[in-house]
Amino acid sequence: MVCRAGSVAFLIWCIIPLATAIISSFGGASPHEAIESFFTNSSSEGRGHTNNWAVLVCASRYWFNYRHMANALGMYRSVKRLGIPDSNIILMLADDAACNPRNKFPATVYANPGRLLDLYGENIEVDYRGYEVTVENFIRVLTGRVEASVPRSKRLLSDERSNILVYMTGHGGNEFLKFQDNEEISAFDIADAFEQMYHEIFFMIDTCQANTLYSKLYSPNILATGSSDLGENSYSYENDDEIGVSVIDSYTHFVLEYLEGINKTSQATMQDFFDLYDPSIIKSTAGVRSDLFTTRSAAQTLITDFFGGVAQVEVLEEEAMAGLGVDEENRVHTEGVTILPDSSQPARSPSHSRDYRSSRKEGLCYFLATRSVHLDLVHLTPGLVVGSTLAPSLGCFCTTPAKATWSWFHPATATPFERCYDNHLKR
Amino acid sequence: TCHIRVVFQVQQLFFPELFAFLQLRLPIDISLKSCPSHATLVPQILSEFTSWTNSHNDRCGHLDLHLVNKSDTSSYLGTASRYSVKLGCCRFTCANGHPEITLSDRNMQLGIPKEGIRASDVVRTLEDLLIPHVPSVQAQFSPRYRLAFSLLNEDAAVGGAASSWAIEDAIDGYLTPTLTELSIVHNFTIESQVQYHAPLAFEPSPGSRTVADSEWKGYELDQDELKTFINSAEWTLASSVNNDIVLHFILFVPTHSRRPLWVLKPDGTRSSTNAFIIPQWGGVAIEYLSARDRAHPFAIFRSQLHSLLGVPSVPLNIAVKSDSVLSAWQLDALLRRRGVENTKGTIEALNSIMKLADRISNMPVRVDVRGDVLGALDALDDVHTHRLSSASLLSRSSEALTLSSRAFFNPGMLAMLYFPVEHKYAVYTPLFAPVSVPLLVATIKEIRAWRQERRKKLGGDAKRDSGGEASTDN
Repeated sequence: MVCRAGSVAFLIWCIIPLATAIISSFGGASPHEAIESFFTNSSSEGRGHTNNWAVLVCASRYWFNYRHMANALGMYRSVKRLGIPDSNIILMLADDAACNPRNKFPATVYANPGRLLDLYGENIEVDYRGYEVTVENFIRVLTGRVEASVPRSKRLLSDERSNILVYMTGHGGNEFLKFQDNEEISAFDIADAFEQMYHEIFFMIDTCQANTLYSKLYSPNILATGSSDLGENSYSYENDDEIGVSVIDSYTHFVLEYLEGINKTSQATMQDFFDLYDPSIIKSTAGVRSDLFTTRSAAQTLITDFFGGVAQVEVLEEEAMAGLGVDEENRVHTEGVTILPDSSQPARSPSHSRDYRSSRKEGLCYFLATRSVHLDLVHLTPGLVVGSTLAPSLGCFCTTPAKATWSWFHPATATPFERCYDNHLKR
Repeated sequence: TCHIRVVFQVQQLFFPELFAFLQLRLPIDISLKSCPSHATLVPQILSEFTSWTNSHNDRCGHLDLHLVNKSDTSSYLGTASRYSVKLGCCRFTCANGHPEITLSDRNMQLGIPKEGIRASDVVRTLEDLLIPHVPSVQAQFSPRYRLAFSLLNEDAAVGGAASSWAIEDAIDGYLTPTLTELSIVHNFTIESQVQYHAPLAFEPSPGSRTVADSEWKGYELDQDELKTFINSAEWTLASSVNNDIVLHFILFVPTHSRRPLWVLKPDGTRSSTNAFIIPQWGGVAIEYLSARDRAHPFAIFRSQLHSLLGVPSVPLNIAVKSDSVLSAWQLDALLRRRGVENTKGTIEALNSIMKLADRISNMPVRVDVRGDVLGALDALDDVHTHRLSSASLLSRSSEALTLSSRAFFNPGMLAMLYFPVEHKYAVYTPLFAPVSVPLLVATIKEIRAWRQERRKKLGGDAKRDSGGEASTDN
């Protein structure tokens, strides 16, 4: 009797969780009802955005996924060049390719087979690195629900007038993206995460079957594009024989090539960019989703609205200042600013005690020129600046793959190396 | 920690009352007095005002405006904001038939010129002062702001750059009065720095306009260049020690070879202040570094700060007689507007919390979220039911906004990850199937055995009942 009762009880105890699981799967509310994104003030339509944010995610680790890290770093560099400051960029790299023991060129990440441009450089800020790149952290960043102890640089502090660029790359499949090889994020989670305050979002994905990842979005004012369709793979672009792995994906390579032709004041629109999609170049069918992007069309949206940090400005006039509490007694004829004496004699350029803010432009050459005392000629590498140390501020010899030029400069003029770099290497 | 399901309580208790909160009505009394020679204007102004308030409900729906004739004292409400308008004759020559308007504290003196004025002009002036337009550059509301002043030299290496500035005196002289007045709205922290090398990311175009003095040809920045002026990649502008909103104020000193650097207005002419505001971010002033007659940079910063904080500007034809920087009309309008915006924000946040809890039915809501929501509701209750002065309206509504945002952005209020039905089956079946098969088989066997026993028992009873001695094996 006890035996029977015991076995029946045990059976019931086992069945109940299974039953509840089945019942809840039928009765549970579907989590993706359409919910209007709150805080998008209806009166802000017609007013543009005033700040830009970018969330760039590389979700795969290990050396053979070098190209995904190069993808994310390439986008980071382009977005920074077009004006979004580091404080407004959240860069998530799941692994460290630059300092990987298998990297033959340590502290560098290249995105093209000739190793022409180092994306890692000396001035990047990676906000989430290594094992911190998880699905939970990504969703917490996008929804703003981070712990109180998370520092400011790891938060997405967008408001209702921010345009956000979300770029994700890694391995993916039908409605999912793989994070760190042990978990995945589904298209439904991404759709639910886009409810934070924003003005407009541009969602760009470079994975296999990427177009499925944006199929479940429902929040308004989102423009999405992916690198390949359902059932298609996204392919890498080229291998570098010395690094030993593929260095960039073809879709991201296409995007970065296009962005190299854009500068901060460009008037190119998103529709121009989408019109250039060519499956034979990208090697997969890239798709666009714009049905949620209703306040304006892609043809009225500039590339720099998402990729650049360009804001509208308002010029203050004195008459306007009068209404704000400024009156006659505020006019001054003297300065409240102390000026250094105007040197009639050009100052000697202190070549090794100058405090350059933009240290990333000095690189190898500055290091050599300021430290080597008996070096006569520094060897030439494509794109480097050379100075002879017998006459340390004599001139610079710059080479690019296309040409080699020599420029002289006067010791009094500032920033010799920067000028050379700017003149000859700036695209 | 204790996870308490308070979601249902929130929905049932407070949902209907939240809609009542949308009817915020702040009472404002304006008394109108006129000198005998213009007594006929008074009824015209009263009727014009009433028709305007009725037709513009979207702008003044949150205000309970009463414009009364001074002689009628019975309609004074308890804690309403009271203003007075006195119509008089123009004392000095009123140029071009414009009235002479002076503000002092909460009183407005209108000097009417000989030609008379229209009632609609008076009503429009009142509208500009009581419900001013929101400046589009207004920054997001925060109870604390960090003001970061930077003196940036484009390149100090060539000499002739600014090595320091008398910032403490300037702040004391220009900013401290207004910051003290605005301290009921926000708390301010000030930081400052000097940088000696802050290059621009582009080359400004040389000045094209020929001026009489060719020395002032200089370089110019047009609208496109102004938009990309801030070289965020290379300039370090503010410390980011906490999550306060930072308003940046930059005094930029161009390098020796690029002086003077002019800022162009959208129509192409040179700006007289050589300064511009970047919405929600801060302001930039470009230094002439000459003895030219110009406004002090900190006066420019002060007016930029006012725009960024949303302080309404007094219309140009109105003179202000006041010891303080801001007139009472401006401060009241700012407090009212920020209070109403905060209340709206709180209601939106609370509605969103309810929708979120509704959408994810098995998400536990923590005790601290419950505390924040109840605190926000208390503050909202205060705002709506008690007649608060403008200052306490602002502080309570800002408390409500902080609490409701903190509740909504609480790290625990995260949607659980989505698992498709197929995943659930795929996970649970290998766990339960191997266990349940033997159990099921055992159950069936037990049931069969029990049935057989029952049949046997019934059969045995039947045999006994039907008589006959059962053979017993003794």
